[in-house]
Amino acid sequence: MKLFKRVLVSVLRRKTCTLILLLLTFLIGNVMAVSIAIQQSSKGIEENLLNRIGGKVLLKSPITDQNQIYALSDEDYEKAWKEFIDSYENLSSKEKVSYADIHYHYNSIQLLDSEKYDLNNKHYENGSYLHGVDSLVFTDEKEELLTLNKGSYFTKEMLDDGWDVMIISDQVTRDQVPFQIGDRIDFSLILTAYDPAQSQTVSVYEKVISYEIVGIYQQIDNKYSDIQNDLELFYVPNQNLVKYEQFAKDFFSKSNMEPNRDRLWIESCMFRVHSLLDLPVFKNTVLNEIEDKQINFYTSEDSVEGLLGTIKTLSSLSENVLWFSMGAMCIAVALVTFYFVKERKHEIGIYLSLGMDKKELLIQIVFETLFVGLLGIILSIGSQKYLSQSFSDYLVETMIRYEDTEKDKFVTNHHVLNPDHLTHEDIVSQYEVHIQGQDLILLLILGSCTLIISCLLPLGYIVILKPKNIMLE
Amino acid sequence: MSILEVKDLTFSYPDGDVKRIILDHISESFDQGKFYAIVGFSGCGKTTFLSLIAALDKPESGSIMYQGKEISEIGYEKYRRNHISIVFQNYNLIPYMNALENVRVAMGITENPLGDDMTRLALEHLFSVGIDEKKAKRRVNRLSGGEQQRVAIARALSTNVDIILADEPTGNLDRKSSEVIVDLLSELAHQRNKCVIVVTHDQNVAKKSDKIINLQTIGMKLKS
Repeated sequence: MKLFKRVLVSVLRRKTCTLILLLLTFLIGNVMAVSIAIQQSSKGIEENLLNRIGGKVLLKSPITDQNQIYALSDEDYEKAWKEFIDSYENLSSKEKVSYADIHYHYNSIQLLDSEKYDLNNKHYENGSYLHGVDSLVFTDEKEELLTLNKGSYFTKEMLDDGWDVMIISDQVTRDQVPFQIGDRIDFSLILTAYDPAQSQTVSVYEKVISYEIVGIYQQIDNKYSDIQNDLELFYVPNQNLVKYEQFAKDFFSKSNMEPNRDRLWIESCMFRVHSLLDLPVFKNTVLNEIEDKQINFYTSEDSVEGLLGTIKTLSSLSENVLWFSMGAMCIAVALVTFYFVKERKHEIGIYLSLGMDKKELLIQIVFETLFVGLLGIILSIGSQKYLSQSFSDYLVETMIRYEDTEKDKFVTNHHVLNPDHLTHEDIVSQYEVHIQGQDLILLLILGSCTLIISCLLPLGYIVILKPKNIMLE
Repeated sequence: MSILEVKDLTFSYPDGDVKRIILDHISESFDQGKFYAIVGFSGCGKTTFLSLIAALDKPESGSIMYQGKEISEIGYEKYRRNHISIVFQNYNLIPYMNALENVRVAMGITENPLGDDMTRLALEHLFSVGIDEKKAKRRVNRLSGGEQQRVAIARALSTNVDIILADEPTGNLDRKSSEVIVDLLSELAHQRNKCVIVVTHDQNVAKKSDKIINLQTIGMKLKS
């Protein structure tokens, strides 16, 4: 009877031992399989999310924060603005960049009430503002946020000279105001100053700006549209906002009033690289560019990191559980196998007295353990599907309850990096644990290694056994 | 030439501060086709002697030669595998296997040429010791003591070795079964040309042997 037959006979006939070992490896195998499945699924979801968002970099500085710009002195503001624009222009010309976009914003230009239309009483009570752009084709269209369905984009001349032109959302035309291309919408430039006599800020100048509609876009339906509906209805050239800010500056420089002047600020500045693979190189370029400047940056990886916090915690937890379960399996299988080998001392003595090579005997014990152990692990693959999904769902839900709102804020602030406005809940709902071929191979390799290590104790015992002491005792 | 030769064989056990000499310069030779009985009082070193010639232990001094070659040179495992078989008092069969499988295990370990159809050969050996096919396929722990010892003898036969060693082979058997086993061992020596060496305290077994080696006459010595 050769080695494999002996292994098979031993495994099939010593039913109690086989069942105990099978049950043990099945239970721990489940924990290992669940841990691997959760880890691999977390990696998968991260990759999917990164591919969905794409390789993007967002620049941030005090002038991209509406609250911070007013804390800057005029000199610091000018310096920060110049630094930022220089960096943007340098970076946007880099080879790795597919396209870049910068949006100016100026609070002093507000939608004017009109007898012909009453937009302010419609959906825009939160205030509408002008969304500056400087690209011939809107990057928002490239980002699949909108599509132009009437008219045209701004021409280079309109962009460079800051014409009073705008592209509006069809949301406006749907609100019973049938605007057409060529119609005009009136906005008002309102300049304010502090009046010591009244101890309050008063309007000192108002100028109507009549913007001609050159294009109408339609928002592509996504979660982000809900936010955009309220905030970004009116696209105008960046230089148009620069022009009116300069007008305000000139106005106050000629007067002795104490201006309560709004400052031009940058709502967002984004670079899209050709592919995710370009992101690491471009990150280094950005780091070199913003060195010694008051500019920070965030990447789509950071955004994904923020979204995947819970999943990553789960993945990290799973990794620890995997190591722990491997250790537990190692110890448990070692002890159980050691106990069974001690029980089989007489049988081992018989083999040795028959002249069996000790190496062959050791191989037989390893094969028996591997045979039963791997069978237990393979069986656990079947049940891990249900277990891992239920277990991870429970863990994710529990963890989300502990998540503070900071991450939600983070997500909202980085909507440029996250155009679909994905939330933790979206990620969790898409989180499907599954085990693939490569994961199975990994599980079997880890399981085999663990089982082989666990054989060391019983093998050591066999090595020191002397057949005479067993057979003639 | 003798098939097995023992020269100046010495063996002792540590016993506290003293060394208990069990075998002191024993010399003996064994031939094929003969049935030897090793006798002596309990503790005189019969089993120790058997364990040494079975290569289950190493002698302190002296030599054991198989066909003129030191067994340490042959290699203890290889010597056990290809040149000897042991029949124990408590049969030492693998309990979860049937009689046939127990014989097949031994046949799978030896390197001696045995033939192609191992199962048929194993059954033939079992038949030759009085185990029929039905009993051959029965778990050994469901066989009687005498039947188990017959299986052990069939296993010893199956590896086609020259020397069969037996340690009190009738110790656990009734008189009738003992006689059958002794006859079988005697038959192995005389009809199958095996060298059969039996350690026994049973005078009936010793009487049927060709030569009685009494270790009692050598006695035990104590050395500080």
